[in-house]
Parts: sequence; structure tokens; C-alpha cells
Amino acid sequence: MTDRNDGWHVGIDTGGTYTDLVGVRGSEQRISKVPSTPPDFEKGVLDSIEAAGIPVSEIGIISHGTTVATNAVITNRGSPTALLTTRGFRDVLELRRHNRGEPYDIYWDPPAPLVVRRNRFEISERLDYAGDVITPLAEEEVRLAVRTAARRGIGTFAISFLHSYVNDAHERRAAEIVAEELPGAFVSTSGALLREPPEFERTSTTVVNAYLAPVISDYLRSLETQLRQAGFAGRLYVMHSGGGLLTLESASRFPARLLTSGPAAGAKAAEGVAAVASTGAVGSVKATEVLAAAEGLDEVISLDIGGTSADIAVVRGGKASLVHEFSPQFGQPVRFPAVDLITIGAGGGSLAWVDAGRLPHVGPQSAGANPGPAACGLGGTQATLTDANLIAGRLPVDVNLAGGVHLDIEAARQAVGDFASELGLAMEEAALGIIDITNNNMARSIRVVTVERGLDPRDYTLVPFGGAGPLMAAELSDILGIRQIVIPVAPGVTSGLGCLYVDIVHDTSRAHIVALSEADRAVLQSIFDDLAEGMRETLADEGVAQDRQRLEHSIDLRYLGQVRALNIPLRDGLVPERFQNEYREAFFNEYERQFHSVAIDIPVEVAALRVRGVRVSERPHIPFGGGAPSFTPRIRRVLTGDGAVDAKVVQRASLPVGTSLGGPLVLTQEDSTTWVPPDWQAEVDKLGNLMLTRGEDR
Amino acid sequence: MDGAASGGAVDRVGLTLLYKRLRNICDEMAFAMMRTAYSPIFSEGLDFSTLVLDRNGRLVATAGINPAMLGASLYAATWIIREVGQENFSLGDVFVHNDPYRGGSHMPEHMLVTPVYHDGELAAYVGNIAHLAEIGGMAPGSFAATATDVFQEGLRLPPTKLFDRGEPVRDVWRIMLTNHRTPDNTWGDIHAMLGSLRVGERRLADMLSERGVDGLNEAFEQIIDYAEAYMREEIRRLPDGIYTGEDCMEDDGISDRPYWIRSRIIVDGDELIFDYSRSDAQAVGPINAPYVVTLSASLNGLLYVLARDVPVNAGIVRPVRVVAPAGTITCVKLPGPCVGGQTEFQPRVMELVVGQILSQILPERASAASGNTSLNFLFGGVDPRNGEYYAHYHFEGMGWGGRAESDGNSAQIVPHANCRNTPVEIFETKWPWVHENYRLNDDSAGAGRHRGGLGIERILEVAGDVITVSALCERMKRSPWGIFGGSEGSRTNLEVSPAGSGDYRTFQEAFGLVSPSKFTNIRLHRGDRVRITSPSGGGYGDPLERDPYAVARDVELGFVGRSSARAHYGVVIDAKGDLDEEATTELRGRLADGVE
Amino acid sequence: MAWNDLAKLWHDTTVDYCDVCGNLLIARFWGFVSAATGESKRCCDERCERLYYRLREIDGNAQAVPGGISGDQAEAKPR
Ligand SMILES: [Zn+2]
Repeated sequence: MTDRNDGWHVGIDTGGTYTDLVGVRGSEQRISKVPSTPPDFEKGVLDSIEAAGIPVSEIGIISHGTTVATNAVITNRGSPTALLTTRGFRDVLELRRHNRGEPYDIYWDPPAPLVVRRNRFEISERLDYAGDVITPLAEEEVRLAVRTAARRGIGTFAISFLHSYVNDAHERRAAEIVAEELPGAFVSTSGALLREPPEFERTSTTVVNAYLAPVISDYLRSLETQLRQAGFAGRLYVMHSGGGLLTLESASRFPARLLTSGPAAGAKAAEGVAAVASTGAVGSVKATEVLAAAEGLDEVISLDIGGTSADIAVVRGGKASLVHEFSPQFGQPVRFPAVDLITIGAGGGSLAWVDAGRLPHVGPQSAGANPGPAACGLGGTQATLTDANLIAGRLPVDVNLAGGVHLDIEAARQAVGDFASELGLAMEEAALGIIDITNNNMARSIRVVTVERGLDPRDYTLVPFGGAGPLMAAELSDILGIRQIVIPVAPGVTSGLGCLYVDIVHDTSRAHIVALSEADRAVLQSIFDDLAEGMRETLADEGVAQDRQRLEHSIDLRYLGQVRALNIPLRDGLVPERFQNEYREAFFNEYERQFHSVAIDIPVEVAALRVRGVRVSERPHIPFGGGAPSFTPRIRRVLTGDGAVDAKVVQRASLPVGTSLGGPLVLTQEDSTTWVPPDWQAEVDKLGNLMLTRGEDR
Repeated sequence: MDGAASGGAVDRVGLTLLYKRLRNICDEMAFAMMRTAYSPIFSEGLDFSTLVLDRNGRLVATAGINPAMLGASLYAATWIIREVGQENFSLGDVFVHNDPYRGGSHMPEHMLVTPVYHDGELAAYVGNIAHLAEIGGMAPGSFAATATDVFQEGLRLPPTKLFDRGEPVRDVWRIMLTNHRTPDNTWGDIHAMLGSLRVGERRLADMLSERGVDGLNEAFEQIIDYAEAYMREEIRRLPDGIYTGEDCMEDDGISDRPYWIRSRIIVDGDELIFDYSRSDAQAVGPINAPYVVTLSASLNGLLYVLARDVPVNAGIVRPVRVVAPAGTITCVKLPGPCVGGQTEFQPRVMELVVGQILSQILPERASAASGNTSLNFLFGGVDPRNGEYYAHYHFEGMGWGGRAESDGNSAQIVPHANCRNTPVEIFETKWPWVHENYRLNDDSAGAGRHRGGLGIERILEVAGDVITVSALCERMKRSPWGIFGGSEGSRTNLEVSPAGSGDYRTFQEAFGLVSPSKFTNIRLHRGDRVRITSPSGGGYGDPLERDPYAVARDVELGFVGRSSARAHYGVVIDAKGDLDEEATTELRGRLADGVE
Repeated sequence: MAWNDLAKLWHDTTVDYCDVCGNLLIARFWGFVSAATGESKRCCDERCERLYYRLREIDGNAQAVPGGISGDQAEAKPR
């Protein structure tokens, strides 16, 4: 395997609008930001490498985050797919869970199923709840279904039978038949993806996976071909939603895992920035060492604010939190571990409006790139967050934005003025109101990913990036009681950097339902051993050296009779002699932490065992360019909740390492602006990250 | 509008923020409940609500989980506090209450409420309401469709201390656990409710340390005033006048006769009166509504159509009066039974408000009738797999009515609730049944320019020795109505097929019952099969105006049969399955002239 | 036209209803004598008394307000 020290390690994140690149080799570093090129996203990737001036042949590793999967689902551009189901259950996708996305909206519509009904084929076969066969698989029916689907031009198959999470023999046999009948067809079986009930979520996951497979594998193949033609000789990995890396082969088999590939990169970036900043390490430090050494700064909230939306994630104990399910739309669940992200409609283009009770709101509707904020002069007339920031003096009037747009303050005044008069407010009050409401919308979402998990945001450091993140961060932190902010060196390309901070990660699990008091130590041990052995094979298949492998064991526990379980991480894969006491105690502690509920006198039950396999990466760092020996600030009037203040306006790049300045302060750089309010202090740390801290008096 | 307007800019922004925070507390409380639940009704069904109340018990914020509980959310806590006396609350007290004669919706729904103190001063309350799957009474699942008084419906609790200054009141617990058929579930689910209260209490404590008791309650008042102003503004936009409508419950499980609900909506400036005083006297069987259920139905109907984004709290009821005289089906008098009022009467009245009455005012927002029954199917017995007693309360999705711009949705839960189904895999793991199918009920929707959504069909086979089943549903005698020329949707059906036989008969025929849709304690045996068919939605507009390509697509997908396409839509599909445009135009012409 | 206590013995768990709207009466009620019929009424509060007369007024005008859509009615608000 190519060692990353042999060449450039390049992180490339393809978003809907821009493709960001960060490349590192030893102490060398390059960044670039180029427009994405839908629908042929691979062109943007090659463009970004060219723009960064990195010779393709000198690249050792590319870690790639991509929005291709999300795009295909949202725009319904996956591959025509057939679904094989148990006889009597072809409508599982359409029955959903019966509930609505909006309780008071009779006009709400569920998402259309990704497989149209005529391509959902019922097969005679049935297992009971324990996985025992009630009706054997009717193999002829499978053959007939495959031929029918093939006649309709379908070459992609999802197979999801009832209770296959306990026994997937029928699914595996059906997959073999598909391969016999239609060599080269893509087949995805539910039991291979997900060994847990219920049927709707598992089928939905399987269908999304199959639906995306040809699109993703075509894309990845084309990308790899183009890279190879350009002389690329290293390894290419793709980021999955859970914040790990997949080989091209795995990504092609599990494309549903790529659904939030891009935003996950952002969260990983925050993780990495925090870890590196806290140790003061320069260059590459093994991730494990960084995590172990990190003190105080491994509790981080990641905030990526773009033009139309903001992605929020939490890093706990140095790791981005994960959830087990993600839904591109309500009623379309995909049950793969995903970074616990919330995406909200809050960005520079978010529109301000007034409701029937005459209260002001901002977003989730956005002016997008077109017409865009009123100040962009592209035809937008409704006030946006960007217009409000401009009026508040927090955005440079005299600077061109990415894409060469010049901000027109008169247009912004007009739009915000209209909004203000609807509320009977002065224009400047209204501008501050827009900023304040946006901050509070984001604060609510941040609370959802913190307090709902039993976490207190005040214990966290905020890592803001994206175009507008550093602009909003300080006042947002005031609302949440956050006292420290770390702004990365290059906020605009931080997602690309995140791709560099990612380990190769695989997850495997097995349902095993037994009362903890009756659980057999040898049985648990043998399940863990099986899972671990399979995981080692998987990692070895990807060429991960022994000393780069790490296995993480965990167990799902619940009170006997409860439906949901809690995932309890374990020290290692050895089931201790007194495991019943130890596991019970760990469960009680986690239960108390999450639900503030005292342990109740009910037996604890084991639900599942899990093993995660990790290829440990090293964490590179973008060296900071330095800073000019001296700088001359200009002064500008900036609006705050406590009245207008005179703020210094400084180019961020001109600040040397170690500089410490008190707010009010506006720090400008090419693709982002940082607002430091009066009570905040800004300091350039050793790595060039900007450390914002709140004054003691607050 | 002046209630919310007087504070000026900062206050208005501050108000939005404060309300968002309160909603967030309710969401957190709901999350804790879902994650720690025992019965699938909680964890899968989400049949519960969480509440933040001011120091007088008035609702300030609630998580939008189950709209059906709105009426109880608005009143039950107030009644508890008034009856107990505010001075008799202490730190660490938790009250439980499920009395439909004291602000509850029906007995399975239990409310817990606990006072929140700040520096020794009573500052607010937090509460939750949740449907316990089993509370005793004459039938497993506690949905006795043939009950003739409330005493047959389970254990009734007036406001009762479950915790006294933090200590469990063991005698009360023991009474409850003794009278419920599945005490382990009760124990676990009530603990999930208690944990949820604890979450609410802790989060409210943060707000209290920021604002103090008076400050927070003043802010609560402002939020309530804002909701009132919002509702008044919406009501003011409606033309003044009296709008009437009627619909009925098809029977009460005891005798074969309908019970009529007659409604007048009087729009009077920025106020609105729902008058149900012309409705039938209360029924002998359990389809009656407590006052709060009629109120809930009226408000939910209004919210669906008018003010979807209004903060749901005590303010929304101020400009609205609901007149439901005691002793009518719209306000049951003790000891009348009422367990089905919440699940069957409430959606009927809600849809009466939305469909028949407001369609006269805002036709562009109207829709045809949904299946409009919760289709409660209850069962219990001893599980041969572990020897333990189990009971479950099952409900079913159905087709919704066609809408002005689109077809009705298929397989959605009844309009006044937003619960989830219990998946087949969970169902079969928990209880001894095996499903033969679970699918959309093809070719059943009411035809229309926009057709109704499809109901579902579920066939399940008894896999235990004996299972005792009961049902309480509607729409077996009367179909969901169409609107503006749309056709009726199809009806509910509940059928049974004895082991080894392929023939399905209704439960009514098979067991000689008074009502086909409401019965209790039928004993089924291993191998017997039950077929549950939920209703489909009514159509919106003339079916002959439906886009013929949409009909052709429905035929291709199996949602509409070929012969229905011809008969109801005048659409001819050729042998290859494609639309025959010429034949369609000709057939539609003849149908329009009434020739065919 | 006055507030009255609705005192109950602690072991009396029955309930009472408003004669006008049907809602629950707890602890106290608002009593009035109907000017139209002479009956005495127990209700929630003054609002229910006003509601009582407002409904009589509307029913008295029933001729002018047929069922169904009745169009605009510029009448005094019942507040
Ligand atoms: Zn009253």
C-alpha cells in the first residue's frame, strides 16, 4: 500500500456549488476552491487538483467527500430498480409508517417510492419471527421476476424478505438466482446491509442502496479512470456518511452509505481542527495520540454555514457523534450510521418574512444563488441574512465575494427597509432582528444535537466554517453560553480538509436477544470473535496493515421489555468474567446521563453486539502562511444589540501568530469574514487558527 | 393584535426565541419518552404528548406529536390543579389522572403532571399524556366496544398522587398494577413518562434561573396572548355567517342506529362559536365524547385549515367557544362510556369542520373524506412462546380524501392523530400472530378529478392457542364521502375465516353480533384468520375531468382496475395497457350525456 | 349573576357541567337567571352567560340567517 508520506495526501469535497481541495505533503500545503460541475462532478475534482497546482502523478492518497449520492436521490436520478419482497408485502415502501411529516398539514405528501409498484415483485417464501422457514423460497418465481424486470430494461435489484435480519438464507439464494439469470446485474440484499427490524426501514435502506449503485459506481469508475489517465498512481477513498472512508469497491457495493458524505466531511474537519489545535502539534500526529493527548478541546460543535443551509454536528470525546438512521426526506429512512448532523435552512441567502400574527421569521426559504440576496443585485428584492449582515456593518462593502459579486448596500437597505416597515421597526433594528432570529434558529438546532443527547453546549467549543460561519459564531455562542470558538485557517475549504482527517471505518453487528442475567459469557465472546474475525478480513481485503487496524466493540442494552436499546461502548473485545455487573453498570450510567432517569428495578436485556473496524489515519495540518509584521486597521461602524460600535477592520492574513486583539473587530479573508463582538478576544494560535474567547465579565 | 405587539422590536424577537426554547423542551421530553418506552404504542406508535404549563396549569407549549390530545392538553391540568388546590402541591409530587369526566379524552390516556419550583416558589408545571396499552376493564386492550358504562372501560383515576414529595405512593401504584392486565408494561411506560417529566423539569429550571418566577410567567402570558392574536387574525379573515353541517356515528355497538352530530359554526368577527347543541342524545355504547374531545376536534379542524403555524397553547381557545351540552353525544354525562369518542368521534367531527363546513368558505383548501376511523383492533391472551399474558391496542392507516391540487394520500393514520404503525416484524416478534399480507387495497379509492388514497388490507393468522379479540371502528355502514362531484371511498371491513377454511365472513355474520364494527371478547383459535380492510378516501371533483393519463398510470400500477377506469373515469385502456385517447373522448362524451 | 362555591364532601367524586357550554364545573360556578325563561343557570363564568344570550339572539334571527352559507352579517360582537 502506498504510504501517504510518499506523496500528496489530498482531501477533496464536492458540494453542490463548490469543490474544495486541501493537499498536504510533509510541510507543503495547497488549497483550491473551484465550481462544481454537475452532472459530471468528476470534472470538478480534476479541476480542483489542477487549480491547486498538484501534479496528479505525485498524489499518494485521495480522500473524497461527494454529494453525488444525495443529488441522485433528491433529483430522482438513480437507476431503475426492481424490488423482490415476500409474497403479500410488496407495498411496504408505500405503506411507510402511516404518519405524516407535518401533523397539521393535510396537503403534505410522502416521497414517491423509489421503486414503482409494477417493479415490486412478490415471491412466495416466508420465515417466522425466529427465522424458521414457514414457506420455502419459490425459486422459479424469482427467475420469472428477474426475466420480467430484465425485459423492462432493469438491471438493478433490491431483495428484502420478512425477518431476514434473523436468517437471510432466502435472500442470499434469491441473489444467486438473479446473478444466474442476469449476469452483471447489481443486487442488494437487506440482510447483508442491515441485520435489524423493522421491515420498512430495512427495505427502504436496501432500495436506496440499489437505486444508487449504478450511478455511484459509474461515477467512481469514471473518476478513477480519468485520474489514472492523468497519471494518478495512488489510492482513492470515498467518505461515507458515518465519517469513515470506503474503498471504491465498498463504496460501489454500499452506495447508500454515501448519502451525507459531504457534510460528514465538515464534521470530521471540526474534529480534526479541534484535536490538532488543542495539542499544538504541527504536522502529522497519529490520530489516536492526538485524541489521547487532547485535553479540554475534544468537545466540539461543528457549524458549516453556506448560502442556503447550515450543517451542525457534535464532536464528543474527540469523535463526531453518530446516529443509526438518516432520512433524505421524511418517510425515506436509510439505516446506516451517519454523523449526527442536522441540516437547517439557515444560510446567507435565507429570506426574512412576517407571519399572520405579525412575528418575524428567517428561512428556511432561501434566495439561493439566483436571485440571491438583494445586495447581490441579481434581482432579489426580499431581505436576506447577507443583506442584514451588510447593513449591520459586518460584511465588507468594498470586497468582491466568490464569483466576483460586488455587494450593493443600497439594494440591501431597500429590502431590509421593506421588511422593517411591515413590523413597524427601524431598518437597523430589523437587520439586527434578522441576525438574531437566524442565530436562534441555529441555536435551537444545536440544542437538538446537544441537549437532546444529554449534552450541555456550554461545555463545548464551536468550530465555525463555510462562508458565513465565522460571521455568526460569536453571537450564536453568546446565546448558547459557549465561551470558546476555534476558526480554522481556511474556513472556505474546511470540508476538503475534513476528508484528510478520516479513518477507514466498517461496521458490523449481530442481533442477540437474551436477558443479561441469563447471557452466556462464552456465547457473547464467540459472537464478538466472529464479528471481529470478519472485520479483520474486511480490513485486510482493503490492504490495511495489521498495525493500522483498530477494532471497537460495543453492545446494545435495554431494560427487559423496552423497544429501543442504548449502545454501550466497551473497552475491548474480551467479555470480562463479571460482565453482567459491568455491563449493567455501564448501561445504568448511560441511561441516567441521557434520560435523567434513575435506574429502575427491571432486568436488563442484551439486544445486539457490534464491532467497528478502523484503519487509523494520520492527521495532517495546514501550515499557516505567517502574517505581515505590521498592519494598519481601518475603522467601520458596526451595529450590535447594545448600540453601534466602531470596529477595526483587519485582513486576517496580516496577523502574525500570537497576535491577540479585543473586539469589536472585523477580520476579512478571501472567502470568509469573522465578526468579533466587543466582549470577545481574538488570538492567532501557533497553527494560525483563530481562537475566540469570551470576556470574563459575561 | 395588541397583546403581542405592545412590547416592541426586542420583545417580538425575544418572544419567538422563548417559544422556540419551550418547544425544544417539549421535544426533549418526547424524545426521552420514546427512547425509554416499553410498549410499541409509545416507541413505535408515538401515541403521546408532552406539555409545559404555566403556574395556573394553562398550556404554554406542547410537542406536536398527537393532535388528538389537544383538548385534554388545554384543560386537564387546569382541572387537576383546581380540584386538588394549588396550595396542596409540593416539590416532588406527581399526579396521575385519566378521568374523562375531569378533562381526560378517554381512560387509556393517562396524564402525569408535576409542579416545578424555583427557590421554594411554585413556578410552572410540566406534564405529559400517553396512551397506556392496557388498563383493565371488560376486554383486553381496554377498548370495550360494547361497554354500556364507564366502569366497564377500565380503572378510572381522578387526580391521584403517584409520588408524594418524591416518594412513590405505593398503595396507588399497587391498585393500578393490580387492575391492569399487563402490569409490567404499565410499570415501564409510566417510568418512561416520569423520565420525560424529569427532563422537562430540569430544562425549565434553567429558564427560571434566568428569568425568575414572575418573569417567566409574564413571558408565558405573552406567548399565550400572541397565539390568541394570531387566531383572531385568522378568524377575522373568514366571512361572518352561520355554516351548518352534519354527519353521524353509524352505530354505538349496542343497537343498530346512527347517532347524529349536528354542527353550526358561527363566524362572528374575530370570534367563532362551534355549536353542537342540536346533536343526538348520548349513546348507550362507547362512542360518546367528553367535552374536551369535541373541543379538540373543533380546534384541530380549524388548525388544519386556517392556522397551521400558530403556537399551540391556551391562547388559541380564547376566541373560540364550543357549545356541547352535557347529555348529548358531544358531551357525555356520567356514567356514559366514551372510550371510542377519542378515536372515532373526534376524527368525524374534525372532518366535518374541515370538509363540509370550511369547504363552503375556502373550497380551495377543502378535501374529501378520509377513511376516518382509527380502526382499533384489540387482542390479548397468553403467549405460548413464553407463557406470559400480553395485550395490544392496534390501529390502522387508511386512504385520505382527494384534495384540490392532488390525490389523497394512501395508508395514512387517521387525521386527528399522527401515530405510526407497528411494523409486521415487531408485531410477530411480540405477539403470536403470522401475517399473510399487508398491502394497499387496490381499486378501492373514491373516484374524482383527484381520487382518494387507498386503504390497506392486512390478513393475519392466529399462532397462539386462543386469542381474545375486540374491535371498535367506524365506516362499515357508511362510506367516506366525495366532494364537488367526487365519488365515495370504500368502507372498513373486519372479517374472519375459521382455521382450514378459505371463506371470509364478517365478524357480525360469523358470531351473530349487533354491530359489524364494534364488538368485544371474541375468542379465536390457532389457524383462524382475520382480514382487516381499512377504508379508502373519497374523491375530489368530477372523475370525468381527471387527466386520462393519470388514470392510465393508476391502471398500470394497479391502483385502479381497468373496468373501474372505464366505468368511473370514462377512460379506455387498450390491450397493450396504453391509453386509447379516441375511445376515451368518445366514452367520456357519452358518460357526460348520461348515455352509458 | 354571581360566583357560587361548588363545595363537595371529600368522598363525593361526582362532577357537574356548565348549563351553557357543557364544560366541567369545578370548585365554583357562575350563576344567573335567564331573563328570557326565568330558569336559573350554572355556568363557567360571565363569558358563558354572554354566550347564552348571544346564541338566543342568533336563534331569534334564524329567519334572517338560514342554514348553510348566510353571507355577511354586520352584527355586534358578543364581547
Ligand atoms: Zn361554560
